Amino acid sequence: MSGALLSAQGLSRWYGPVVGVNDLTLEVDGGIVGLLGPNGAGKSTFLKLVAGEIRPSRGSVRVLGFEPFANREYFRVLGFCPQQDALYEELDAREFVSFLLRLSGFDAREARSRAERALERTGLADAMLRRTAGFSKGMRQRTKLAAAIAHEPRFLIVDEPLTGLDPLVRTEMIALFQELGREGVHILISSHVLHEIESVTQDILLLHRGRLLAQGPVPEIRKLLSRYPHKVEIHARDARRLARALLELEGTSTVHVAPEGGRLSIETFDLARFHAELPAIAARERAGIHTLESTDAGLDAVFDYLVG
Amino acid sequence: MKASTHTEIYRPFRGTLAARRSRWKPLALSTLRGALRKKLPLLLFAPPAIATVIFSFVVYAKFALEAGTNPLPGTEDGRASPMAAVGGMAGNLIEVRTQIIGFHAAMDFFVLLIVAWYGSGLIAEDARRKAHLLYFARPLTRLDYLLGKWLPLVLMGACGTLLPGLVICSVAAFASPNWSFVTQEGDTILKMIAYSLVSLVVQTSIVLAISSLAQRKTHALAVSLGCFALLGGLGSMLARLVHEPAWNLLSVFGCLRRVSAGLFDVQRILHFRANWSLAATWFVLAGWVLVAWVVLFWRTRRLEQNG
Amino acid sequence: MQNLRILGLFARTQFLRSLAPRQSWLVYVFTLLPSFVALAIGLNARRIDAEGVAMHLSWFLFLQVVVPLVTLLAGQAVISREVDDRTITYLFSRPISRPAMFVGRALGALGFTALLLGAGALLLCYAASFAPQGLVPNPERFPLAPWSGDGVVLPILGAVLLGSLAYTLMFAALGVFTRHPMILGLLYTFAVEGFLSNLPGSNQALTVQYYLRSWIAAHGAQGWSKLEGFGLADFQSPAGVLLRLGLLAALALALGSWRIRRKEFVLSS
Repeated sequence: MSGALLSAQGLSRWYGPVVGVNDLTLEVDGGIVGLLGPNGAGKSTFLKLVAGEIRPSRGSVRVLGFEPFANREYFRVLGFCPQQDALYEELDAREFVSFLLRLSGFDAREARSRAERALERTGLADAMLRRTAGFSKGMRQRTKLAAAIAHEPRFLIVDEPLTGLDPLVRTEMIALFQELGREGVHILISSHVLHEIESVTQDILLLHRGRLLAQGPVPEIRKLLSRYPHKVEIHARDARRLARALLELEGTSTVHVAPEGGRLSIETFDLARFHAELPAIAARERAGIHTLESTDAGLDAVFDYLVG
Repeated sequence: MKASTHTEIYRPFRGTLAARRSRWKPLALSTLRGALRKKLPLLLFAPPAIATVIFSFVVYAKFALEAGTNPLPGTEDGRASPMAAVGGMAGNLIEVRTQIIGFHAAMDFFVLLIVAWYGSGLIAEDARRKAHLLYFARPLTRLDYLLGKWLPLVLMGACGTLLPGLVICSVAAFASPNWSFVTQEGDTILKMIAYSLVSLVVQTSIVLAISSLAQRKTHALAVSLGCFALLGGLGSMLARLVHEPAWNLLSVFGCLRRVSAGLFDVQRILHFRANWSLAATWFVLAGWVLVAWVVLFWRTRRLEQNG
Repeated sequence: MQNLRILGLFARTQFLRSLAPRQSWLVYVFTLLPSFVALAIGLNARRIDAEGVAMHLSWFLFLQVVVPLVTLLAGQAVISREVDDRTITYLFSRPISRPAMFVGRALGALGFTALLLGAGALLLCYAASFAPQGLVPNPERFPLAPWSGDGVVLPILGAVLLGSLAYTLMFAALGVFTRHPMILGLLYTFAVEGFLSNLPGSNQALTVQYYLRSWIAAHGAQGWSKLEGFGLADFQSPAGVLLRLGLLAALALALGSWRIRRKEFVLSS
């Protein structure tokens, strides 16, 4: 076994006749990893397996060298922020986090001060003495996250942390994940909000119908999708002249000039060659390029190509 | 723009509704579909079904014995045997009315189980899952909502009491010579229907009211059964303790048996002596139903207004 | 040591959580109802003595209905409430011993039911003592009356505490084994305890009620034997009662602890 953060071998889990995840084999080295997939892809099942909440029906999973299910040693280094909004409604936020910290082995005083620090960090300093029963979705999310990070775990699992949050809270959450990542915490984060995941990490696991569809940094995955030509958009002074020249370049499949002129959309199967040759062509044709953008190198496009 | 405040999250519909009525129907149908989705709880209907077969056979045997025929085909022909005379006497001793009373008395608890099982979660779970927000965002009145919950419950309960009663009466009607059961004891059918309806209205109203008060289905279930058991125990215990049968008015089942005794004009039901005021019993039962529906309207109003 | 700390933490939180009126109002209502009835009878009845009121109410209502129902409500919630509320995830992703958690919670629930039902039983006796022919305990001397001599209060209290012990732990264990402990618990309460314990013959020995009766029979006054259904069986000795109910409670704890160690609770998203 390599020193991977997470490794799964033929990992499968089904609920009666319903397949949650099916025959997943993968290795994740660490850092921040986004877990993506459409609804019903098996993301939550995978996270529950990794968090040790449920057992595999077949295959195995190891995280930081531990078998997760009901493993107390593993739970010492794990922070889990589940998807459901349930909290102990009769407690206030500080009591809730303190209680869970006490279960992690801290004494009452230490648990309280850690809880306060964690709640301050997630932006709940002002509301930590309020009962969680009256909390909004965003406040619940922050409370759960505070509980998950308060004991300074090495590995943090966060299930759909951005769903239902307003843009401001989302930005704060993303900043927090980035900060935790910089502190060396490994994070596995599942979400539907692709561009926000993209702002946290480039490393993804893409699940679909219970199977692993893609894994790795987004640009590298995109490169592997050779079936789809890469799309590049250029704004240039003399777009028509540049278009003519680019059409002769090997690998270019289509070139489209916008009716108003000045904007070119190019599709090419050989992006490396395109980038290598473009400066010379542009200089030769005196095209006057203003901007150049790869429009389908992002996560959205990768997701669309793979899942759509 | 004129300033206004909106303190209610979901405001009741105040517009004019189209002429089409029965808005409770879709809700009732979906309630019924939801109830029938799980197969295992349908086992609750097994005891009434088995009892229906047994009581129907006894009723059939009564008329067969009276006629001097053997109620069990394939065995000795009763007509030629001296037993036929005994059979005829036995047939005369069995009364359809008594069978129906006995059936209802024996099945009361199972009907309560059916009603409590299917009724406990009807409002409690709506409130817990906030499904009522969906209902009251539509032009559905409180009465529509309550009817949509209550009528399916009555229907489920009827499968344990009214329907078996009708089956027993039908067997009696068909087995009796020259429809004598219908012509001579036709009022038994009406009394059976009346008793079943009273029993259903009382039980379903109480269970639904408890459901509206509880936070979870399981709690409503426990309270429903607990209330009937506590009140039953309390009533019969006090009646015995202070030698005053009127204490049985505390027991819902006691009251129902008194009504049954009154309707069918008998003094005893199984070992239960019905020797207290029938008018007071009706009054108490009406009180239960009234309180239940006041609670239901109050709780539904709170659901509608406060979300 | 760590396990003991966790056990204590859960016992305390469960106990305090159960005390909250918002969570347990139903349990309080069930427990106090017989006392109100006893008071009403005591103040209004003419031909009845305190002993009779206390015995009848504690036997027919308290022991046979209130104790099983209250312990069911409190006991089954030990685990199933966490599953229903989907908060069990928080507990099962912490480095704690699951059996310690279960035992702690179950003991917390037991503390609550024992305290509440014990207080309810005493209150019932006190309320009954207002009957015109108040024999025991005398309201003027209560609670300093010589309880041990009256054959009413102490037997009731003992039976209620033993019932709390056996039922609470049994229903707590039931919550580990099934997703629907309330339904099975109700079936058990009404079908087994309610029915079997009132049948003549040795079948009674399969119910907790039989042992509670045995306890009362061994310590109680003559009046108990006149109650309907009380004298249907040969009773166990007090030592036998303690041994069997203690074993039942220990078995419930052991089975629940064993099952929860490797049980997964699948929560829908």
